[in-house]
Amino acid sequence: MKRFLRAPRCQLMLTRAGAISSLAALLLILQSAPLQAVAATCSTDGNHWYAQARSGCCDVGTLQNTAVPTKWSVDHSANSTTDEGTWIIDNNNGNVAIESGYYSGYFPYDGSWTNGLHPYYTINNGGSGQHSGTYLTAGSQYGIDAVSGGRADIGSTRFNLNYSVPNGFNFGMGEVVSSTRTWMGGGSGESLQAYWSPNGSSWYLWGFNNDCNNSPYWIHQSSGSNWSNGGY
Amino acid sequence: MRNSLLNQLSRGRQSPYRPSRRSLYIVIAAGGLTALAIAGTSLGWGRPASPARVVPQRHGALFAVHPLPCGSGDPGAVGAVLRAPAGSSLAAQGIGFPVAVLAQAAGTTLYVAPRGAALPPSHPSSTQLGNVTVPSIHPAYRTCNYALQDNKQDQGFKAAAEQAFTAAGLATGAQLSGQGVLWMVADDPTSTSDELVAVDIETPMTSSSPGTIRTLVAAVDPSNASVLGVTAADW
Repeated sequence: MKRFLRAPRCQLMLTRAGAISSLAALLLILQSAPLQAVAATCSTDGNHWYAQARSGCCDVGTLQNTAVPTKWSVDHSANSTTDEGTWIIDNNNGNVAIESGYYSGYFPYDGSWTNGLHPYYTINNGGSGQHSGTYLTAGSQYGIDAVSGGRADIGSTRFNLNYSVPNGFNFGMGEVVSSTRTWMGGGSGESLQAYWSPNGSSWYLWGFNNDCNNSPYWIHQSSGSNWSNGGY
Repeated sequence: MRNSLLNQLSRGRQSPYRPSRRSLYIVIAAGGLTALAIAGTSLGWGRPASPARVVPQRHGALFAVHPLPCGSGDPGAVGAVLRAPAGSSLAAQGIGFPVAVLAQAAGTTLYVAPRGAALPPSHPSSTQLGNVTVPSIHPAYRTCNYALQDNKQDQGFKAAAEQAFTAAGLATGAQLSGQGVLWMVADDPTSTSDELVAVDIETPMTSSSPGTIRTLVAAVDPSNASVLGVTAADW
């Protein structure tokens, strides 16, 4: 084998193979570029799968009205989690943030487990968090907000926080952590209508929306303020 | 100085570490195969249709999020614009969606059109339709700030648009400086010679209404921040 690799014929073949495969790869990358433009991939550490929607900044609150899913599944053996979060996050420092939402599965801040849907919040980009023991009702409509200053509301569950987020940008996402055997929403997913707030009490529809997803999770945008996500 | 650099480059070519031709061939081949592998991975080759993937727990990062930076991701469309030769009949071209004249420039008329509008297949090539997306992809105009406060050029566009909106009777100064006002700068997909400045004047959500949005659009010449035209948009 070593002798064959040194042979001029082998070197020629390798060179040709390299040139042809380089050309093929270039063509494939060019061909796939338009697809990437319409379905941007979220940045991830490989431990998270997302469907993310981001609007603009700089205000103090984000609200999403949504019907919670009727279908989801969480993989206990992998201690995995699925959640739907509403975020107000510092445009200049992603570690300053309030996240508010509901989850199923493993809750990393106390090690507990649920197959139901519990309200929760986090601060410091997931640095710490708490959940409530309340169970949300599958298929029911909830308002979920995160407000600098601050509070996190999930339906009638309120977490009061002494925590401010300057330069807040409006952000929402569905998330699955640790295992794709855990999933959210399925093929029909959840619909969300998103708002921003200049003062924490008046809520205005998002004017625009930038999206990304990590397959197998998907996101569809129907207007600047309306989107849906889900996936298996 | 230049000679010295040339000498260094010349010495570099005589380096004992210069790869042999055989090594070069192998490097080219390996590079090509690696590029092919990367392309294949990006297209999902070699992955099962429904992967079940379990990643070892990293508890510290379990809920940490990696959000989209401003200007990235799929922006979607906030509306559309149509550009047609001045004086041409849109009805004769089979265009049935509602439009409003935004500006006249260089023998063409620029219209705002609804999000999702589509041209009939037989439209003349001189008529163009494009989606308007936010934020601008032009680095000099890109911002995600609702008040355009972090971009001096956009602030100039905004000031000119404000004057034009009030002069045209489309909004009052008070309406344009109210709480639920959201400014956006977007590129004109039919021309590089103007930028679009849009403002959403919103009413808040109430117990009986999800809230409303009224959008005004200005076409601005970015070279001097002069307004080419304004209109209300059905976006």
